[in-house]
Amino acid sequence: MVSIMTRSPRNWVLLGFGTIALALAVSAAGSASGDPSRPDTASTDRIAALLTETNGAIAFWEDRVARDAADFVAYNKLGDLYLRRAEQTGDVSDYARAQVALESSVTLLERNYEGRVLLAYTYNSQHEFEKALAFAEALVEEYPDKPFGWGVLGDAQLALGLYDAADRSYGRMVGLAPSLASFSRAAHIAEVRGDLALAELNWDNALRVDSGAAPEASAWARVEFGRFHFNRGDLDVAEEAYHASLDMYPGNIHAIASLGAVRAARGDDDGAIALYEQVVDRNPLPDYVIALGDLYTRTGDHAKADRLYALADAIGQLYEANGIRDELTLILFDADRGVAPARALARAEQALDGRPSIWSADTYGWALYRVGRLEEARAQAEVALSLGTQDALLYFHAGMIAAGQGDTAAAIDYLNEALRINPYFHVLHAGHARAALEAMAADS
Amino acid sequence: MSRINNWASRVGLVAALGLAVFGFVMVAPQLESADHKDGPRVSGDPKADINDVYAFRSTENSANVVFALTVNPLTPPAQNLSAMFDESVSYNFHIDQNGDLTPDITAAFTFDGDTFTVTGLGAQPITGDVTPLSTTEAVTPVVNTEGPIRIFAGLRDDPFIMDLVGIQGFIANPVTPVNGVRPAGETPTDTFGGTNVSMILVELPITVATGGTNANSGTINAWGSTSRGGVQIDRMAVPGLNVLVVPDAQKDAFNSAVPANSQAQFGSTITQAIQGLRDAVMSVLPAENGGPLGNLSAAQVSAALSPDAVTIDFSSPVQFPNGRRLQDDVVNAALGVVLNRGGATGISDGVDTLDKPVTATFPYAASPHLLGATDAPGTFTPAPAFRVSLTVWNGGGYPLLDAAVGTGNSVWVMVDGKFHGYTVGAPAFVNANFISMLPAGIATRTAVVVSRPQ
Repeated sequence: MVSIMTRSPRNWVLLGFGTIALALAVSAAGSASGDPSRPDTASTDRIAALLTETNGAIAFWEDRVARDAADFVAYNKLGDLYLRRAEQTGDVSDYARAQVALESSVTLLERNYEGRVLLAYTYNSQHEFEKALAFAEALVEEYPDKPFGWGVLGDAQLALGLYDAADRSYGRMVGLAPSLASFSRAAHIAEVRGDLALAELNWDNALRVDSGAAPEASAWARVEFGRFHFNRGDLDVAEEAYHASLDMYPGNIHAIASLGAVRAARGDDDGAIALYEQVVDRNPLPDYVIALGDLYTRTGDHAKADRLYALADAIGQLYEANGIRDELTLILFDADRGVAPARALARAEQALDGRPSIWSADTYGWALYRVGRLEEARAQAEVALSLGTQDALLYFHAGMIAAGQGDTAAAIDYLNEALRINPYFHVLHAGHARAALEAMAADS
Repeated sequence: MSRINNWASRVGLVAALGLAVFGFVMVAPQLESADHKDGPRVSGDPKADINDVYAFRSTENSANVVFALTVNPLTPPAQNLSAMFDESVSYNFHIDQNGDLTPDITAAFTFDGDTFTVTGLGAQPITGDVTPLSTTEAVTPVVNTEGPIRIFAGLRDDPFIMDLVGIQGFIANPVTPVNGVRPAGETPTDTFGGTNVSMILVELPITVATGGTNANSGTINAWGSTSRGGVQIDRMAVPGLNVLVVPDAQKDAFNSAVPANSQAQFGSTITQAIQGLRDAVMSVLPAENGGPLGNLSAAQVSAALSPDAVTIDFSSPVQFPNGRRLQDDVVNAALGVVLNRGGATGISDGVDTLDKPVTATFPYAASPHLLGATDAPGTFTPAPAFRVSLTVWNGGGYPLLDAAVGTGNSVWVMVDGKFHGYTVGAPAFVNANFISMLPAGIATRTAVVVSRPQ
């Protein structure tokens, strides 16, 4: 197993923290031993230092464009820095800034690979996948030997459900540049296509070649790696990875929430709730709001669960009102709730139309199931499973649909498969799967 | 399967819809239906990206030659602490003594934390110290001495000056220049002004470099390269060559090649590129009248430049194009050679003054630009002057904020349309909400209200 916890103090020197960078000796294990949601002072100072640096650099290049509107060099630097700041702070308005800066750069200078590839990346980040696809396709034709263009192209293809094409694009990227950026993409597409061994290999490669130059990227990679293992029920490996992520970027909410999921899987609901509460308090992302609600449901605190579900509902309506239609988490949640099944179905159908993928098929199938259109639901579930993706929730949905159809044999197979892949795949649905299996066993 | 959703659709949109968004958010939640989250960005490889290579006679000891190589181009002072050398990269100086364009001496530098090791400069490897980095303090450069050899490795002001924006624009779309190579309404700017670079600088006896017997004779070719795991990433000697005349599609291949085979591999494409440039500017510049090296055809220029090595004849004054001093304004000469115009002085990009002068003493390159006292983290701009002041915070965590605001005083920040206050030295419960909202402190350039009853 690749060692992901070991980071010698010397490695921190590479990240340049502190006023005299070479004099630092930072305890890498600080957050691992304490409460992960409350990083120690040295850790928060590191984050502050990173952000201060990003902001200072942005100020420098913003001054430049203020004095010289033709400065495409500054616009490229700004595009990259705005994206970086968005990653560090979550301020979405930096995406709009990046787009404007990079579009300016590209308008000023056409032969401008750096500006163009970052612009395509920005379009992906903004969910403008068709735009990103067109842009990236032109880019790789002109610059076939530049790896990042292939990565951005693959990202757009993957988002649009073009899985084989994404696989080829990511393969080109790895071939041109073995790096965290390329191996992590290759790992992801392998996982989507159900090739776990290849995914594991690529994750190992990714972490091994990671230079640590961008702590937020390194921290992200550890969380993704951890989740890859959590989704297969490997709690220990996942937990270790999440702590490594917090070492790299203390206080990051995704590592904290993921640790919450590990606690829930181990049956420590109160411990899980404590972590999710911290996360939701800081950043009410739908997945975490719903997961926390589900935990309260599991512990029997329905008042709190209902408040959280209402919040998730409200977020869903805000999204719809703002034209965001492909938020599958919320659509699935809507279908699960059963409060307005016709509405959930309409949303699922729209999401599928807008962006066909195995997940939008899965969501549509579940929404169909909830209005009783079982045959169509089954068809969609089978589309969702067609790549062989080892995703327990897909199998759970398929199993419940089959059970509804009275196809007990298939239902048992699907539900068993879901629990085999990950016995902890969902705070509530794992239990529902077990209950359904028991009921079918009792009937036979 | 990890269900990964594009994180922008989550965090970003939540933020846009007026819900408070804080904290590290690069990773998208992955609990269910996932369209793919974008993988990490790639921002080039600046620690291995050679900016410039210099070779000049020492101004402290005329029997010595000084070689220098710079990476981490365009580093603004705010990012000084990130301008380090890459521990997986070998930084190499190559010297060809007999004119066959293959190295007879290679000095290879590798880094490990705050020390470097160089092989190839004598029987034994030489180790030394990197000069520490700072954004705000002037640091005395560390001079590493080993016999007659002196080495510096660390941050310096970038001595290179060039209106890169103007030149790229001119090449892409030649119009009659009015200011430097800029059209009317634009002002030439030194793109590299106010920025720093990471520099490795080596001073050694000329006789060691040439293999000869005195310091005023002998000719060498020299160039720099970077490599990782034995694979070359970049190489460079002639300023502007890659920018001006290597076609985009060939730039990476060019950076991986070596002088000995460059003319064979790239000579004809470079000739075509040079001729293409000359044709493109025919209608916007005065007629060709020969450049700083004389009236040369595109093929002749290509033959001279395509190896991308700098030639130094120590029997003549050592300055560009015979070697390259830190202060030489090479861009004008390079432009003139390529475009075959401007006679002895070349064409001008309109940028002729170094932002910081070089010094006569080792390590010769000027000290790096720093953040101004008024911009440094831990300060307000303007300094709070009244009981209640509206000002801007220059960044930094809570220790710096406490020191800047003072015990018993408060600072207020607007979040989501509401003011939130933080009082220095107050009991923990008073500031708990503020700290949980802003765990890393107040962001740089945030407008704040400072209240100082004390």
